[in-house]
Amino acid sequence: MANVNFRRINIDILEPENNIAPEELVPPSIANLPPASVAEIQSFGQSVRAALSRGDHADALAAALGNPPYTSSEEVKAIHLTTILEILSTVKSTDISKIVEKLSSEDRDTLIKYLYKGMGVPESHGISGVLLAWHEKVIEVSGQGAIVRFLSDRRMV
Amino acid sequence: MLLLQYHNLLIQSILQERFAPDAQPTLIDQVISDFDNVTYHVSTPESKTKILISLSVKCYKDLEKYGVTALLQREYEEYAVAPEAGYDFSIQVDLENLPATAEEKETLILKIALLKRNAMAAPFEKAFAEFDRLAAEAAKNSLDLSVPEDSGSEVMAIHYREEESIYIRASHDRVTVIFSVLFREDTDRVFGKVFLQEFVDARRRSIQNAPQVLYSNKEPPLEIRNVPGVSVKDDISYVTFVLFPRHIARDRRENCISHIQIFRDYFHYHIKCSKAYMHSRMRFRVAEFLKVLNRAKPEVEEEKKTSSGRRYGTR
Amino acid sequence: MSQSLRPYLDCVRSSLTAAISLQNFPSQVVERHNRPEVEANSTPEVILNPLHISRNEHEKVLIEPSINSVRVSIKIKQADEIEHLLVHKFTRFLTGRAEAFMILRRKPVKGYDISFLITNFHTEQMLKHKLVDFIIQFMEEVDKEISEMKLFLNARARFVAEAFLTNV
Repeated sequence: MANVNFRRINIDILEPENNIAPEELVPPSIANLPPASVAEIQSFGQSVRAALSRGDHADALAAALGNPPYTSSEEVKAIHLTTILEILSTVKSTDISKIVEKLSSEDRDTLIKYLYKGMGVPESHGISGVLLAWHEKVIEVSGQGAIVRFLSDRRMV
Repeated sequence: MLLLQYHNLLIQSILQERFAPDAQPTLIDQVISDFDNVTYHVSTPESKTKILISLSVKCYKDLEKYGVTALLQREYEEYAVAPEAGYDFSIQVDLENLPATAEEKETLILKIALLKRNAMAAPFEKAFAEFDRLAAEAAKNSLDLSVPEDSGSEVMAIHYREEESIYIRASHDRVTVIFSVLFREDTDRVFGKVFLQEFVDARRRSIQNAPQVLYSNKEPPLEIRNVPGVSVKDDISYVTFVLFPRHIARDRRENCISHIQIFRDYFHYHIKCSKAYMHSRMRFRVAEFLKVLNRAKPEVEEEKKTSSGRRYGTR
Repeated sequence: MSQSLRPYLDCVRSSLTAAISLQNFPSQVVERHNRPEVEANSTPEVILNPLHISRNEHEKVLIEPSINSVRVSIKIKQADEIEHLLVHKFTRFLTGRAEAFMILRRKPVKGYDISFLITNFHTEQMLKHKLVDFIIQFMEEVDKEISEMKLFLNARARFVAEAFLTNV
């Protein structure tokens, strides 16, 4: 008995057909999107901020949500998250409902992703209350389905 | 019971039983423990009517320095006998030679039950005597009483527990009693902090004529910083009681000694009580939670299942 | 209920309701095994995206759903040493009784104070909305309980100290 540990070898790993790697779970619809670079996402953030300074909250949010960097690196995603959190925290709490209603249902689902992601990062602890308020309003409009869609959506933001 | 009693209840009850007029003399051989590593031995070595009560105090050596022997002789004069082997002080009571009246008997019992308190009182009495001397001296030299002055009088240290000690120091306008406090457990430490903080605040808040209480963590107070054997450890804290002349007025002295002595026991007793209360409270809350969870189960349950959902086999 | 607690609990409630959609699912890796996939973590395709909900840095909920099980971890508010100690004591008390609590996980997930593991077998036995109610009520009462215990401790300490000092 040279090596008793042979029982512990995970042979399934050697058989590619029995395994699904996490990368393979990315849906084909976005698999071929070109990843955005840091410079691109920053300039995009600038344009969104410009819209924000004009007081165009709804448009700024729709633009930011319409083009999430699904296939980009974590760094790019983090920059985009900051942009979105900035928009969310500048909106007055009385305007939230109005803006959420204006968004397309696709955008609302994307917004949910950012809300959950935002609450998961330590930087957002100061504005958790704002995120919870947005969450409430989005669920009011989209219903529970939005959360279920978030759970099963492999297009991670 | 909010305040602890100063005397030993077990000794009291044993003697009361023996002293009762219709009691038959019996053999006694009993070892009794009290707070702070104090042990009593109650026995009848010679005859059933002669009860020998011996006391053993861990810090008797310290107490001896401060005149405990004289004090105990004074308190128990006719009853004191040579100490039993392994003990520090003994008294013997002859059942055939008791005081006549019931009240006198009761006083005697209480006096014996206060053995430990009296032994520990020695350094306090010495400190109060010292205070009297210094105060008289200060008055003679017409010193301003409100100016605290370093009298250079000796700090008396009593190592009454393994790692904890009492330090007593007299000066002309006050007597300072310092307890070193050490907690074995984290919970006790946190709870203890809360309690000690309240001791400190109590004076400021409501009881103006209470002794001043100071609390310091890790750092020993200035008074005892030069005393050999004062350990600077992270987990030791110090509680200082500053007794002002009004606390040690002649008629309050005895009470004050008893009361300060019991501080540590009192304080730990209440920490334990709080813990017990928290525990019963948690038990209650958990039962409540279980009720809520059980509400999730549908009312009708045809057959029992294990928690993993499997059915019990039918036999 | 305080103003900021309500949206937090509402958010947890709706997220939990969505996440507890479980079905029986035998392991794909080991034959004749049926284990909570979120714990086994051996089949990435049946594990869903985790949900983070936070009220502030001290109060957080992490919901990790999978096809046949959901793991809910709660971080309870603890502002100071006393609360920290009380939370620790209380959660230990609870996990010691995990057997009775079916859905309680014996060990909390790292970074949280207490975890629940709800599997499809639990949802088959119990009503889902009541399970959600239980977790929400748990979160509410734990906070209340901890602060009440703390208040009690302070009150007792004050009383004890005053009783001692008035008698000197």
